[in-house]
Amino acid sequence: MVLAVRAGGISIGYIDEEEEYIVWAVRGVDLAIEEGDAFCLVGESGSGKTTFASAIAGILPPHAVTRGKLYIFDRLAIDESTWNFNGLRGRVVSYIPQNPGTSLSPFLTVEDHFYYVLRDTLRYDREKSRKAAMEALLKVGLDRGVLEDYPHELSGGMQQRVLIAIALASNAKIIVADEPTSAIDANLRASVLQLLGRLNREYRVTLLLVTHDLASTSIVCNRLAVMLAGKIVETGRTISVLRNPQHPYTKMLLDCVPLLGVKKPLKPLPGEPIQVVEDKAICPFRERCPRAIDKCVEEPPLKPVGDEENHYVKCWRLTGVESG
Amino acid sequence: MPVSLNYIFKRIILSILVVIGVIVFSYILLLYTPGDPAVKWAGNPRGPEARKAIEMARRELGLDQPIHVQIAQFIYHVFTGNLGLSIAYKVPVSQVITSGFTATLELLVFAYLLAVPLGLWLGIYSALRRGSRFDSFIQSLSVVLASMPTFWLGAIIALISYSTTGFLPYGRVSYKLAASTGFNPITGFYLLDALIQGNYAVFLDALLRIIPPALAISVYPIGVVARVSRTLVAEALLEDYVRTAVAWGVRRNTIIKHFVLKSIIPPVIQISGLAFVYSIVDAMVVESLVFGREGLGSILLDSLHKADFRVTIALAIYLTIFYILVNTIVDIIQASIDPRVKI
Amino acid sequence: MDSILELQRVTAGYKSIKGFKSLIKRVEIVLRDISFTVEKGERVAIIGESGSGKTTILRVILGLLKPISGKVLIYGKDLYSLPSDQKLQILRRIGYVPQDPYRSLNPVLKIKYIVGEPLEAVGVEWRHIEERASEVLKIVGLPQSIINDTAEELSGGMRQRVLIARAIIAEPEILVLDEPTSALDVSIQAQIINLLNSIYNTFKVTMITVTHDLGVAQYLADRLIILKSGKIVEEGSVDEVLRNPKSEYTKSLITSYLQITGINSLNNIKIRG
Ligand SMILES: Nc1ncnc2c1ncn2[C@@H]1O[C@H](COP(=O)(O)OP(=O)(O)OP(=O)(O)O)[C@@H](O)[C@H]1O
Ligand SMILES: Nc1ncnc2c1ncn2[C@@H]1O[C@H](COP(=O)(O)OP(=O)(O)OP(=O)(O)O)[C@@H](O)[C@H]1O
Ligand SMILES: [Mg+2]
Ligand SMILES: [Mg+2]
Repeated sequence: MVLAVRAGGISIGYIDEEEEYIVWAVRGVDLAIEEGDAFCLVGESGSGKTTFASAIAGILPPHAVTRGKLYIFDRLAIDESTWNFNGLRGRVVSYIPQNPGTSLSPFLTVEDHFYYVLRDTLRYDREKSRKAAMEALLKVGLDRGVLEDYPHELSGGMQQRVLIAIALASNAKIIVADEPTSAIDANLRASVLQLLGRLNREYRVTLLLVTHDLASTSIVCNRLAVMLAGKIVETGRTISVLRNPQHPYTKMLLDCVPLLGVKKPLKPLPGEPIQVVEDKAICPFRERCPRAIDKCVEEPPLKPVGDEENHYVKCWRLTGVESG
Repeated sequence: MPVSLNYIFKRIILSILVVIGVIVFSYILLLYTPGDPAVKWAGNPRGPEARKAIEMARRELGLDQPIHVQIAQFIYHVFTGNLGLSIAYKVPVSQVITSGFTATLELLVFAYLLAVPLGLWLGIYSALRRGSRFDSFIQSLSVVLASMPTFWLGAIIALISYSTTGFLPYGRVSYKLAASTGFNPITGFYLLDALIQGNYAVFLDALLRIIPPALAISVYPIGVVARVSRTLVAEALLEDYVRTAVAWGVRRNTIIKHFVLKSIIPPVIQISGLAFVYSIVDAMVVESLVFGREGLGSILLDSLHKADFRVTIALAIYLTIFYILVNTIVDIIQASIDPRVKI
Repeated sequence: MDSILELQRVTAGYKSIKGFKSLIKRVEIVLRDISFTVEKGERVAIIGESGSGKTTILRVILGLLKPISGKVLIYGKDLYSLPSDQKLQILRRIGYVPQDPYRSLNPVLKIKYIVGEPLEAVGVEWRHIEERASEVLKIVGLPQSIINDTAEELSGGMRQRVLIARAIIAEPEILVLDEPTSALDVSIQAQIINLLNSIYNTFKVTMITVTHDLGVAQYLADRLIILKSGKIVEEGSVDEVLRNPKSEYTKSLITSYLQITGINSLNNIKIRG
């Protein structure tokens, strides 16, 4: 068993502009993604998904600070506060960014984007990169016409597919996809997800799929982690987490998902996501949890759930502490 | 190039309209400032020829005609470069101005060819090493340099040049040398002329004389371009598309050359254009007062001294036209670089 | 029934200038022969894949993009042949929520100026605007305290609420929403859906929603207009379209959707495990 990604107690924070405090976006995450896994990270907005994804992609901004360790295929990429991603970016890990509208240079055509990426990673020349670009674009349902386009001439969904195509073209072993389907419709969403799934199954590309869309995880991913306020509160096999959610947060998240043809009332989560400035060891859901108890001022451990293999949850209520 | 001919055409028409406005304005100014415009236009002549000269000026200006005809004629004269003879030099005004113009333009273009790339490089380099010693050095240096008057800086440069090499950079070229080697300026840009004629002695001499004033002039644009490009690069490096390119494994050099530079070039061109028109005045002062070069500066001073009214007015008009021209060109270049601007 | 909005055979597109052809302008047609009617008080959703021209339809409705041919009738008046003051008058009766809450808010303006802008444009006094602004903030469930803040600090869901507040401040009769939830996460999406429906019920507006998400459309509309490559391929009530889709495109849309959400529509669909 080869581990593609291993995070050992990693914390990631952003220093605020006046350097007065640090916003902790990821807090003490332990995580192992095996080679060939399709791992899904879900959670609400601001829970730290993009931060964790960009740490793996090696593009934390300069004002970010880290603690803990991150290994990528046994290479130590983050060691406490030193980062070393040389040779990993683009070659081992490729990245599909979250905002299609701002992630392509407005001054370069789609073809140029492909060319610079493929020239610098795989040493392709113009012709070879053009060919690879056309192939990749075909996979995401775009035709070669977009090669000459500038990003602003494409719709949001087309931009997003271009981003996916570029990430695919460089044949990296790990693909980190940050909300890759947020701007495209169901048809395309299904085909893009299936494409990612196929890459994962047929080419053993390790996938880290970041999304807030719980629904779309099931056709691609075999493993799932639910993130909340920078901590992982529940993790396990996709099927077992979705069929048998344990954490109150996961359950409530599932209640927000609209279902086609079933018109149940939607039950939004109460309250707004929080920014963590003081990294205190308390349950991250305590203030919004309808089932909170006194014990929840302490941070619960990540405990296995019943007899389910690999299913863990971080909640006092499920570890025998019933009232307090 | 995402700019249509249509846009360029519109811009040029617009500039021409503005120029016409400026000409009309100067003409009206000429008419309504105290004193007989014909007398002024003739250059306040005295003596027996005075009456004849004033009569001629009156006819030239068409002051006997209705005002709109006068204005139309004046505009026509400006565009055909036919503004009569200079009172001081007794040659056509257009010739006086053109010779001054080429001299100053040569100096300015030389200074800017030096300044913009250097400023750009400094800006990029310090942006990439933000907070480093190099960066803070450049930062404070640019503040100090930008607050020095250009003519004073010019004087210091001239002094240094004289005291270290014994060479006083004065004038555009050594006339003795020019005459002895048979140098014959065609375009009026001496460096270019000398190169075309293969006259390397004159070229070298002209080069040695143009470098010191150009240095003095280039300090301001170097500072401006360095500051602006430093900020722009620092901002561009934080753009999502740059971070994404990094994640895709694009090398640092490629990122800077193709992702960052492309995005900062349009604003840098714009800033350089603004600085350029600002530097014209700088150049006029430095070239004439410090380095004794002929050019627009010396012509302006001369015309004021000798009450060469035609030259002064023509100078004002053509300078304005030049300002507008530079701005138009800058806008067109800028628009044609940015693919998002569709006009 | 009153038709409040009608598109008659609208064809529209953008001037496109590309590559070396930049010197010759040509027009790229995005919408072809689009006709539909929206009745007063209706909730209509326009569904289509990315790039199919959904936003373009809204631009046409909002008076921002003149169709190449065809007519846009709002309250029976031909929008693009009205003199500009009358056109403005009509457009004022439309509230608009733009596509991306992260990029549609001016980060340096105070919330009250952003929200009050539609009223300011018609010359309402500031005193009244502020009052009204705090009213609509309450309606969309935002705290009064943010009225003097800038938008920079706000989360996506709060931004979307600010945009909705701005859209309803001038009491529009038509509310036009471009992908109101696609930039938000599911739990915030659920909040916004509930908010929009309560606005619909209280103010009896006509609601036109653009979305690529059938699941969302089901909550925000009674009637669906399905768009593909700039043409309408299907139109009908939500139930009708979902139960009995006619066009191939709609069918595949529904199948894909079920496939994606398979896990939730209970345990009958294949899941990787
Ligand atoms: N570049 C940054 N500088 C400062 N703070 C940041 C930065 N990026 C994110 N944050 C903060 O870190 C926290 C986590 O943000 P992150 O973008 O990782 O969340 P996310 O789960 O990806 O959310 P979303 O679903 O909205 O994309 C948030 O509180 C956010 O405000
Ligand atoms: N300003 C513009 N100039 C030129 N072409 C444009 C412009 N805006 C959109 N287009 C083109 O028009 C077509 C339709 O775009 P539109 O934005 O209406 O799509 P959409 O259905 O809203 O897509 P999305 O769901 O991705 O937002 C696309 O092919 C796009 O490339
Ligand atoms: Mg994110
Ligand atoms: Mg759109």
